[in-house]
Amino acid sequence: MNNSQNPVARKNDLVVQEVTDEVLVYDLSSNKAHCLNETSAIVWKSCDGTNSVSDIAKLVASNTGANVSEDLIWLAIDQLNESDLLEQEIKSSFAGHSRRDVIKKIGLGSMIALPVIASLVAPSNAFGAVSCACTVPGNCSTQPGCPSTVNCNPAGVCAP
Amino acid sequence: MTEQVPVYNPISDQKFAFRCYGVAVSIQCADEPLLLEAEQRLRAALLNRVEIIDDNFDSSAKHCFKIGLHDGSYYYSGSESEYSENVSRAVVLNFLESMVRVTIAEHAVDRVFLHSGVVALNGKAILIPGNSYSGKSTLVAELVRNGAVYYSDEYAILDRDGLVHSFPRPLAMRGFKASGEQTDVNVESLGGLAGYEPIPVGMVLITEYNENAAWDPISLESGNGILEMIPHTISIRFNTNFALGVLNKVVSSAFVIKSKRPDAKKFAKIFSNFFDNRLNCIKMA
Repeated sequence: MNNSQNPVARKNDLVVQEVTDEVLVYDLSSNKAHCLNETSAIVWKSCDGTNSVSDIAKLVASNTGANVSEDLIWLAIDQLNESDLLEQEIKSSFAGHSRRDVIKKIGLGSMIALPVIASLVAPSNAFGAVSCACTVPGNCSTQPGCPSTVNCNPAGVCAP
Repeated sequence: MTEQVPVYNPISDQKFAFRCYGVAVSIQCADEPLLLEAEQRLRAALLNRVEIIDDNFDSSAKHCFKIGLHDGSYYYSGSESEYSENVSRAVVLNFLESMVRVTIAEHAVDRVFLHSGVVALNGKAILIPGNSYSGKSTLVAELVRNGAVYYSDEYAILDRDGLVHSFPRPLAMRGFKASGEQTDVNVESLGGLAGYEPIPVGMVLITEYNENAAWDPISLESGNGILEMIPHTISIRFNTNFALGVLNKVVSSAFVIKSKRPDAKKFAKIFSNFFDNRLNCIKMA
């Protein structure tokens, strides 16, 4: 049964690539890319609105053959919230503990990898990533890798 | 930049319209010598991989650029309402060339352009993704001097199977001029050769120069490898699904290695041994 407290994985505006033991998710609305390790990927895929956190812990346990605590699932959900990969934000049940405290607590007893989501924002435009050509200084402010981001020199290069 | 985009004038403007990697481009200009110079520069920059299209400007060419001379100075107008004026001839031609190259790289049909140096060792491509001025050309040149086959110092052009196609333009060596301009260097003058056959990727090398760095490589998992390549994937926003699929193909059969590196001369020697050892490990496995 669908319960509003149960996490639901977001599906819209996402491009998903299954990679060996990981899942790569590209958010078309924010142009952010996220790499979910195996644990966070299993949790994310289990977020169908019918599974409670407790159910997800059991599913992860059966997938990995290890004992899995609900804290570990909450740790994954916390990161999924942060990455905007859930339909609705789910309130964390860390009850006043920091993420670091929870990681310490889980890490000592966990037989599986902690959930990790690595993220980055894609360049704002194709030109910014590849060229340092300019006609005016404004062209340089969107090209952070160039020798200068404020000066378009007489040769038409974002450089001193 | 202003909004004074010049309107195409079919009577006075001439055009150079072409298709490159499936992308239709039109350059309009009322000044014939300027248009001719632009055409020559673009043909050279695109390795003459252009197919002239002979039809009306507004019916076929999707990406239109306009350059010209007005009141003694030059102007540029691009396909995304960019407009610049009061610039020199050299600057307007340089800017046009850059914008056309990036447009083709972003919109290429059935190809993914990765901003990356590419060389080949033992029939496998080594991709070195990096932004402009990150030292790609210098590193590629040193690897070629150490026996690698030259594929490109700018683009890894990947097909849907993840094979790399060569783009062996003259190497754009910077640092010779304080202005940041480049000097073109032919691969033959480095004692090397260019490769033309599409080849599989053996390694993606994520690296940046650091004066005091030691080569201390770590191997990245596939997903994080793709994450490292995304900022250099020119079509990632325009054609996300296809681009990610191709990057996935690449990492499924290639190592993704990350480390800071010492200067290019020193590093090229270290790296050639490292790559050989890696390949031998695979063969033994």
